[in-house]
Amino acid sequence: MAYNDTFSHERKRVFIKHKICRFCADSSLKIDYKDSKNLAAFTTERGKIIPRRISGNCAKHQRVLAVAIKRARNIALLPFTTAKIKTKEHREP
Amino acid sequence: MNHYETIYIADPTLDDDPLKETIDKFSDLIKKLKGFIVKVDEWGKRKLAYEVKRFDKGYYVVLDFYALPETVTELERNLKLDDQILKYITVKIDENVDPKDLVSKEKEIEDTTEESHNEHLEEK
Repeated sequence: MAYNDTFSHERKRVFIKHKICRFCADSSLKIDYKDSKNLAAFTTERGKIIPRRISGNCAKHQRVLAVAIKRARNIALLPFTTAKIKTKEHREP
Repeated sequence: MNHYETIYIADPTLDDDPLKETIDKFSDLIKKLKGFIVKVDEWGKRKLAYEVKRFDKGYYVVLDFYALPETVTELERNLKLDDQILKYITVKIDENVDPKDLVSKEKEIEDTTEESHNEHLEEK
């Protein structure tokens, strides 16, 4: 079982995989591009969309979610990238 | 007729009066072009996820309305021309809604609210 232990340990450090699609499990959850707080949970710190293999979403909901995140980015509710913070530091020493 | 939703971000430095004027301007435009406004939701000042035209904050307004596609192009043209609007997005929620249904729906909503209001009075 030593192999399994090390394997799970490594996995834990990287990410926790959800096996069931949250939106299928709970039909009351709705994907809305105006709801930036919930959408932010499906993006990384850098603002990237978390892939399906990690979030565990089904293909159908991942598609809807991706569109919602892109719309939210368009109206400045979510960031495209967080590189802005770095450039600011450079400009203002 | 389709069901649309438009979000626009207005200049956060505007005072109350000019801000109200711009919000009314766009709502009136939809009404003038034979659209029905369901709701004008003002989110107020919010932090933007990134700078837009050198602003880091913006005044969010959500317009929920029924209109023809031509109305939306006209609305978006006006939003584009307005210097006080930083950004906007229009999303189509529902297609091919019959205006007659809308009128009956509106009446239903009015009736129910009136009924609930009356019930409240009776309780008191």
